[in-house]
Amino acid sequence: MRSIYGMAGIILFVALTGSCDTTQPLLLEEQTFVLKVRAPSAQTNLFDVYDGFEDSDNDGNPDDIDGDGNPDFFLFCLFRTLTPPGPPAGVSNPTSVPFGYTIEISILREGETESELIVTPAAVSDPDANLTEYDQTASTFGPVLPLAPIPINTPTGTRIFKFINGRILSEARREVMASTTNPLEILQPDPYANKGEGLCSVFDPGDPRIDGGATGPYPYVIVLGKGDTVTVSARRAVTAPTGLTIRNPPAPSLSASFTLNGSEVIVRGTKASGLGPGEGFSFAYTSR
Amino acid sequence: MRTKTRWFLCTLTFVFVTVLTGSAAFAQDDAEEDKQPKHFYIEIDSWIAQPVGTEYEPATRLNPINPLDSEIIRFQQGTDSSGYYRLGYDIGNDVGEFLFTWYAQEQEQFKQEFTPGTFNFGEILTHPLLAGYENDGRSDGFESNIATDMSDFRFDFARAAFRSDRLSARWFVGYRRVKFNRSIDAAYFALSPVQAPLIPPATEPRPDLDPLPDQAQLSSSYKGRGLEAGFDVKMPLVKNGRLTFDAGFALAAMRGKMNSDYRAVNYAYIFRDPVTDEESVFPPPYNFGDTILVDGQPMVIANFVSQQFFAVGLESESRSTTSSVIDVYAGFRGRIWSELEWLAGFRNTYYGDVAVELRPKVVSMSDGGVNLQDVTEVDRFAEYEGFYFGLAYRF
Repeated sequence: MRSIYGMAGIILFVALTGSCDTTQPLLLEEQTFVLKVRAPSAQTNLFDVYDGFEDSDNDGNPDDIDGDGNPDFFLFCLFRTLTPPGPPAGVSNPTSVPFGYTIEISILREGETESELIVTPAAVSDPDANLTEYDQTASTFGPVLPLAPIPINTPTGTRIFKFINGRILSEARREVMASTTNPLEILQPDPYANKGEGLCSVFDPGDPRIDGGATGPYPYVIVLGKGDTVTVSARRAVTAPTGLTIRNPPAPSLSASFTLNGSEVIVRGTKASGLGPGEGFSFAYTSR
Repeated sequence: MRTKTRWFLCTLTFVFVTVLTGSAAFAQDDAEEDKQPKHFYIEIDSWIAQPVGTEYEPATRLNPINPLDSEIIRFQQGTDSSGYYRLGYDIGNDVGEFLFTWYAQEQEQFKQEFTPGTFNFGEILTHPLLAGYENDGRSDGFESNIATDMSDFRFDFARAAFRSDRLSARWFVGYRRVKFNRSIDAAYFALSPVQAPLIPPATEPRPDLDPLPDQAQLSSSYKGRGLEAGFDVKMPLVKNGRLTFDAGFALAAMRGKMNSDYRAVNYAYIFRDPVTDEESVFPPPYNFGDTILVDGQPMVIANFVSQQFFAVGLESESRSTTSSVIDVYAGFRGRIWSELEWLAGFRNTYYGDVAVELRPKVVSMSDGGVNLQDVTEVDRFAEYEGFYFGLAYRF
């Protein structure tokens, strides 16, 4: 009888202890990725760029043109010519230029079989949808000759415009392309309303953006849970934005930067397109 | 050993100890059992049975580093508790007993594995023609469902073979009817293929070229009936029926009808030549965004590509089949009071040749469509094993 009690007790003990099952819950970690799109390695015109201001009272201080109580400055751009007064010959180093493109971003959540479309490819004719980054390189081309003041006669008197901070910038700089007007081109369109003869830009394409900024600011942030897969596909537009002159190559490539904590991640596919109109890239990444 | 089985074993041990130390007086004399008048009895037990041998294999997992180390992915079916019912009528005076026994179990299971972008699952259920995203039989994810449905009915006549204070036995013969259905289906995906972007300005978005999953379904349905015979023994371990060792076996030979079918659909990209209008399979890599010259004009290839399906279906109906059942059990019984007993033990039932897997082996394509040049039929068995525990009541 005792041996039976003992055997039963042992079996009961083994059954109880052996039944313990300690399964830890699965923790899903989110990772935040940053997507940028560039059209790199394109050469544009070089400008001698000045900060201009009106000093009609010749006191050495910038005048308040718009009457807001603050001195006003404007950009004044001249083609960088190697052999003045010859044609524009100054060409920038390869740099990023603003270019329109279509993009499609989808996320396949872990365990799902249908992707979730985050960004739909906009029509090519939509100029506001997507734009690559501008040139962010500083002037490295050497000194710029001072520009003498320009007097302009008006019915109300002579207005004097002066120029400082001469520097060499590419046409693809953000501030250059955003400067679509200056006082001289209004007062004396010939020649100052011509691009590169005073006027910096004829059209401002706007800030770099994806999906027109509708689904998020630029740079574009993508949050992935563990096991989620993101697919990014993009094609560059056929023609450059209005007024931007790309010297070489005629159709620059399109490339993406996809980083986690500032470091590029290795993706499946390619993050850079070839050269040519409408070329594109497509890549995917699964968060582990 | 599964957790449920361990807990059941614990409960069984508790009952075993309780019976041994029970203070209730069961003074009824069991030596007079063979003179009992006619009576019915009913036994209901919960059989925690696990189907084994069903061999549901939806895919393979390829080892990209060592191709010799690939493995078959199988469903591991778990235990399922279902009622095992027996109704008996003892004619009395040792003439014999009529027994009606019924057991049924249904089990469904789902499995999915995804590795987006890594195509290392082999599509072993689909037909071989143009299977896989790149027509190489591989996918980067799959989903599969299985269903197993079994019912077993027995009608037996039992009679005592011999009886003593230490051992009693009975033989029985009867009729057995078995229904067994099994099915497996699978969908194989290309969840994250990296294709040339099909977006403007090259072409308008082409969601119709998003890869569709290859799919397959196999099912088998069997109904059979036949004769069975068997033997039970009982060995009293404690007086007055407080604990009895109970074991037995049964053999059945059946004849029945088997229906099986196979359905599969694979998808592939088809290129229609703009000049000759001929169609051909578009091979990977799928650079649909590239251009070709048509009448001197560059045109995007995607304009001439579509995704089409290639379906195969097979059926085998009312195939005459011989199958067998082997039933074995061993356990304990104990009297709680004069009419009520508990029972517990282990039971194993083997059903041989109760299912068929029908599959095409060689599939080719010609102008007339898809050709099946060779098919295979693989016989399948099912075995249910597990512990049972329940009650028996005599009235």
